[in-house]
Amino acid sequence: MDLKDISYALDSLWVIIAAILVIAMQAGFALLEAGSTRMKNSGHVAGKQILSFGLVSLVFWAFGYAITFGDGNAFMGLHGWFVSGIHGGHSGDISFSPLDNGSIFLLFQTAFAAVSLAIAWGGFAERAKLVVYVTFGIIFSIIIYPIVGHWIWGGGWLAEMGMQDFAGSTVVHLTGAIAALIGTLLLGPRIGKFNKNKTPNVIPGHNQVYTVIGGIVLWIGWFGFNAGSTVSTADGFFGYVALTTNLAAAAGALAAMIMAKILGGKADISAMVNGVLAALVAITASCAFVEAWAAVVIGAIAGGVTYWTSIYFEKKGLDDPVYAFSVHGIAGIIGTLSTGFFASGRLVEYTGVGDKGLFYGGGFHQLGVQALGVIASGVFVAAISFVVLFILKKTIGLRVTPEEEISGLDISEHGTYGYPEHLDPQFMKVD
Amino acid sequence: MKMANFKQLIKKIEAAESVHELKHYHQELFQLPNSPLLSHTPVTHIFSSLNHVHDLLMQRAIQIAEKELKSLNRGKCPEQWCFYLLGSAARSEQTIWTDQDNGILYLCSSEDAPQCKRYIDTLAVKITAYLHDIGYKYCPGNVMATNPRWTKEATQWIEAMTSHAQACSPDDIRYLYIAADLRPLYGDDTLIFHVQKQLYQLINGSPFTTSRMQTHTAVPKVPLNALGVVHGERWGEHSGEINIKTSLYVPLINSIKYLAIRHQITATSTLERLEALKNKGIITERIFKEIEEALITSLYFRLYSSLDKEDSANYIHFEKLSKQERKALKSAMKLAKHWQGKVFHWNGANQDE
Repeated sequence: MDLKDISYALDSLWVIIAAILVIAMQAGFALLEAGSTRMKNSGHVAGKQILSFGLVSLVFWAFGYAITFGDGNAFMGLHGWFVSGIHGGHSGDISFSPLDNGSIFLLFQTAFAAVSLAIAWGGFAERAKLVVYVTFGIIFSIIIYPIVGHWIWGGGWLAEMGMQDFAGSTVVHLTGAIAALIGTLLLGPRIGKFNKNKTPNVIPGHNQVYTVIGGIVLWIGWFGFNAGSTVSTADGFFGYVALTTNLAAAAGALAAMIMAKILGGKADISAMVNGVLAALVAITASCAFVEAWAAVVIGAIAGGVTYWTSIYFEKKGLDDPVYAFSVHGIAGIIGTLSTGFFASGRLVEYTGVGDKGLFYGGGFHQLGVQALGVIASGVFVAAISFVVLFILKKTIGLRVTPEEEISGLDISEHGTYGYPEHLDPQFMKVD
Repeated sequence: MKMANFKQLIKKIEAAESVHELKHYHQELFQLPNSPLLSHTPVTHIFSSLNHVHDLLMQRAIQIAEKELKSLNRGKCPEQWCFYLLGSAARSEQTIWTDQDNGILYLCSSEDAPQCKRYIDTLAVKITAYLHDIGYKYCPGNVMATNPRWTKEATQWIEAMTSHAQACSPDDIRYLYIAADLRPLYGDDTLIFHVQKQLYQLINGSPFTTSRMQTHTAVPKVPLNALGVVHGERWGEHSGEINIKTSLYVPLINSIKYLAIRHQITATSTLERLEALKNKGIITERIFKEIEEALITSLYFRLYSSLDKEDSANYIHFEKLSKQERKALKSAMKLAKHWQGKVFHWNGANQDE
């Protein structure tokens, strides 16, 4: 075994570990979202993560991966359906990835697509029909996510322009968040969220400990997400990416807590968890392009700003139960644009993607590319999501009945309560 | 409504013969929002007149209830009894809309105790029902004469307060603070002055109790951060608004009440307490003036927040206030926050900072 083989084996091992870490983020989402929603929906909210991951694993293998990474045009990939030709090892009939072993990269990318769909579900929480999750999930995993992925990662038109989105602030997070936003808008607010005078009510999550543990699991999983996206070990660059990732998350936690204290008067725990996630979302695009100090700044800005936007959108009548649009959408935009300002010359040269940012003498070019990427991806996802969800709304309907919503989705969609001892059916009757 | 109308109203209340009439006169107070009085009369004068009317309405209701009870021959009238007020009524700080906060204390020989209790209990039910009929809602926290906690034979009341002062749980401290406001309204007021003196003595006799009461002044917190940003309610019907009662008024009155208790000041109105603290040299003239201004600001906003409608009493929309009002409110909140902190750390010395 020569050095090349050892290097190849190490890279393969690192990427599969990273894939497992990203898959473990599903557990993080399950805890985070179930903890942030009500007891009567807990089994449903947590359980749909398995539904989501199972669905994405099959659909992305069959179609999504080919559209994202297959040869095609600037708009989408057109080859490699069912990942045909992948045999493993050094020599496959086709090779889509920085790694020759397509099966490992497929697994890694499947995990990313599943994260994006999990984000989208956040906006649907506590009132969408199960069938909508399945239908929209399939379309999302075939058309929406893969096409944006192709534009930026699969050699599409944004990739050609040098857009910097290292691990997917736009591809994964903004895409999921825009779908969540459209879902939230078309579904409407949960029963009881807003008063007649349009003021919002609090619908507290049932278990803040779950929310916190979910946040920590996601933080850990993000090392696979960002550092794993180096898909190599030989130069140790993955360690640097892990460092910027961690620094941003830490800054996001503190910034969100400080912002919550300043704006709301209380050091809100959920705000702190969301601050961590927003910072991680933001550093996802920039983790390989920015210096450590800039990672702290980006994380702090994302953590602080998204606390404010979550309140702002709520005041404007948007019921986004787990603040998916703020945490993944606004932070995704912040993160994607951040390289336009902070991308350092030495790191851009090292990664070989795009140009240096405004603060490093690169002018507005990279910022313009990043902004174009955000706008184009956002508009595309919004348009397709709207069309699909609008058709679903007019045909099968998006939302469960008010009676089912009040009873809770655990009992109405799945037949059993997540907390049966606490939710005796006799207390859940609808008059 | 003009000041002269207040005087006419007082005369009419004094001559009223029925609860129905009193209800009618109570409703005249609702004309206050449309009154030119508001724009050119000092807030303290409005409160003084308003509370005088409230006192008279309640006194007349008690007289009517007492007269009716005597003819019913239920139990035995105690040798001494007094109907007293608690809360904002006791402090003469009621706005237009106000619920009931009251109790009855009495003295009775042991052999007549059951008969006295029967008389007083019947009286309590009658009075609170009449007050309710007039327009004073039942207290949601049940601080009323019909609650045995607040209607007792005087020695038993002191015993109960002694056990609160010994136990010092958060509820016990809350009861002591409520009790510390008691003001006689009808009957033998010497009874009330006597128990108030005893209450203050027993509180001051226990360093643990005073320490717990001092800790209690830290809440509710003034929702103003170090950058001067006012935090409104985040959720609910009043999202974006400020609860003037918990955000400014209560932090001020509780901290002043604490110092008044510590210095055996028997006045119950917060302004009178403040003046007494100044006269005793506990606070300086400068601090007195600052707190007085903040307190008057809180009374002004409490009055104005109660004018629109009953449901939204105490809530004001900060952003909808005039620039001058916002400035005054913020300044008062800043002072209240600072003062609350000073009382929390008060060590008995005259502090002029």
